[in-house]
Amino acid sequence: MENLDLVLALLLIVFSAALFVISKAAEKRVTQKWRICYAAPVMAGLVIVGIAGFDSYMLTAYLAAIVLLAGFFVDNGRLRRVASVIAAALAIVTIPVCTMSKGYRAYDYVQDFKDSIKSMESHYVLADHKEIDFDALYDEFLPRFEAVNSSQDEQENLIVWTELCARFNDGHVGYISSKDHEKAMTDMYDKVLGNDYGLAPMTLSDGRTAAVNVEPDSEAYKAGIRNGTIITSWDGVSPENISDEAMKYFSFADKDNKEFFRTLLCGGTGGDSITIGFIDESGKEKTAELTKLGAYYSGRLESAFAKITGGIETGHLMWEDIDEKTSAFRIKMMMADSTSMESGDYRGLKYDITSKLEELKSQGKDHVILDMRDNSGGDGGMVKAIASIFAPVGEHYYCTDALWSDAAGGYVTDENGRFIKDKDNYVTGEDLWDGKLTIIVNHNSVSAADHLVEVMQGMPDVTIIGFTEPNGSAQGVGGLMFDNDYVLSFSGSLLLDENGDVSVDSGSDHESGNDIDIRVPFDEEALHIIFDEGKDHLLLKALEMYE
Amino acid sequence: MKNIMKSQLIQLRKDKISRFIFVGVLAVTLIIVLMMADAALGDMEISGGEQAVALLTMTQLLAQFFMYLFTAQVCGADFTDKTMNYEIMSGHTRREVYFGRVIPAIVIGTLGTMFLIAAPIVAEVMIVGGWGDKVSLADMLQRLLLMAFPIARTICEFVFLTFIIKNPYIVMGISYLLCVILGMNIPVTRDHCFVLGMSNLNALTVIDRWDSFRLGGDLYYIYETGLSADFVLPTIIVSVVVGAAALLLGYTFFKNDDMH
Repeated sequence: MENLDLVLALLLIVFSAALFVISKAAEKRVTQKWRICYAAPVMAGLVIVGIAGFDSYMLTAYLAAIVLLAGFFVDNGRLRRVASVIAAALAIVTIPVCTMSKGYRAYDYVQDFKDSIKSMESHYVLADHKEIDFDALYDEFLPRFEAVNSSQDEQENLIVWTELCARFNDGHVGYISSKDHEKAMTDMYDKVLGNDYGLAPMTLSDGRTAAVNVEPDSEAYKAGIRNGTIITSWDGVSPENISDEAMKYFSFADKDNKEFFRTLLCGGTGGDSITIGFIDESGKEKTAELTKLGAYYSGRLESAFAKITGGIETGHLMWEDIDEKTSAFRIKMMMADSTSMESGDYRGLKYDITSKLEELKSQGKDHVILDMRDNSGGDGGMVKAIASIFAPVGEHYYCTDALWSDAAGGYVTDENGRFIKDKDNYVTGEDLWDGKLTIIVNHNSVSAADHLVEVMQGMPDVTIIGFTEPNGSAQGVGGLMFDNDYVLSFSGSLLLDENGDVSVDSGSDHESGNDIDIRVPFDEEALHIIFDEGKDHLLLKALEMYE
Repeated sequence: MKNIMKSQLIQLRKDKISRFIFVGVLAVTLIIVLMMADAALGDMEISGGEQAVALLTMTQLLAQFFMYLFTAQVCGADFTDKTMNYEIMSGHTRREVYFGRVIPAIVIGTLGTMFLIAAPIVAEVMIVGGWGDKVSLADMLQRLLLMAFPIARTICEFVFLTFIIKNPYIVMGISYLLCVILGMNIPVTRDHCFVLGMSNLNALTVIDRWDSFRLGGDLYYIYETGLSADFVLPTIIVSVVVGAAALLLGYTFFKNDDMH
């Protein structure tokens, strides 16, 4: 029970006892000031409700205060004593009612949901572009949030939100804890992603499915399944038909990226045990019965993800010498320091990078890799600063701000419902690097990282590579903060391309506008390099390409 | 009762304390407004509407001083010189004596408070040079009009307090404390609590803002001034119910109390 509510309940018991005792004395006094004593519990109640807030489970306590108020109106000792007894009983009942009820001081998850839908209807700039039907989402998810309200299950709330956010196919739509987000997400994925059978399935670029991240000494391993073993069936169905139930918890702005990871994400599908069909080393098709391990699939998935998509293991904005010709620059987000972020002045960062480039030149290096895997985005000013270093001399189109109208209270559209272009933004190229530049991306290179890919695409001596396209979510982010320390982020500032279309972000076709120069196939070679040799296949490809 | 109300109005016209409270609060808010206008004119991007949003919380808080002090003065001053005793002795019923004071206190108090909230904002808008497009004038007027209900309710609550305490100066002291508490960021002043009049009044003056930005760094704002039916109806209903309850409590106490 909350402290203030407990104070109110106890106070009412004390009031009831005291008012019972003075009821006789009050009758005998000429002055009416005794009446005020009977209004005091209501006053105290109002103050406490004002501070702690109203709660319907405290109704018996509120009622107790009102019952005592009867003594204010009726100058009758007997009635006042009866009122005091009733009020004391009500106040006493309040304590177990509140202590034992799940709904007491319950968090209103439904209100957060309603506020979010209302806010997104007004401010989500991609609603039309993605053909989001907010009414349908409201009708579908309201009962689920009502169920969360009843159960007060915080994890279930996160599950429902994750599903809801995934519907937008927008890397910027997310329900994030401002406190212990990683743990909350891990716990949630543990619950929803299914069982670990000691391996993860991954679709190869030729369409076949292979085992990856196989657990040594597991049943799968003992049955002869190794990294790269071709899986022919999973729990009675072909791998491409594995239930994609788990996909509803993942948001991909681009359907190619979604397809790339689909089988891997669904590898927890199955009951206590599953039957897997596979091709053994001799080329024969075999089956194996695999019992689920103690752990959750989410752990295996996470480590497989890290191996496939992880970047160079060094700090943000750190350089790493790769070989005698190549150095890599790790950019984990498009933010350098708070001062440059606030001022938009990235001259310091630019100076550091150009100084380093001069040093590399003096060492005879002529290949720079920008490793932007898992780049979580940030400031467009940093995009301009980095792009200007490598872009040829002159002005290069970046993107266009959409026209805003204060009178309309938002971005304005023409008679055809298309957004109107306002100001074009350019990057002023300085061509400070005359060697080759390779940019490595993954599906988590999002927002401002998407911008950099968009700007640098097609420039001479620049190659963008990855297993997948970057995320494909490039609008400005806004959000709502809730009382439970969670934040709902979504695209709230609109950027257009040269044609006046939404820049980069996918529409209802689920195809983002960002592409890469070389899509490295995830084939058997890639699989063995990553999972058996533990090497960074994309980095090796970048070097191979340079040679 | 008409005569008592008339006498109250005449008394008010001549009452230096009430006039001093009104002019004093108006002067303080105007000085603050002038200071803000000076700052705003340094940055021509700030429109009158945005200034109104920024000022509303403060003018409302300062106007509450008038609301409390005025109620205490109108309903409590006659306790100090036993005017109410004489009115009863001269044949007026207690109901007439009570409501003859309460009605002018509620009507003039509400109108005066609303004037004190609005006047500095009007002055500010004139100084800045217009309302602008960023804030809906209709929504802001709607908010101002809706404030009449929690203001009237709060006056009713103070009527009750004044008739119990019977000393306008103690009530004024309590008012001051209340204003200090209302200035704090605690749930009672922050949340949309319908139970207490002043907190709901506070909720009407807090306007959320949505930010969008341009790549160059400029920010656009949308002021979410619109009020939903979910907010308007409870504000009116609870104000009327709680206000009436407070008046009833006050009257019950006054009816049964000895005039000494």
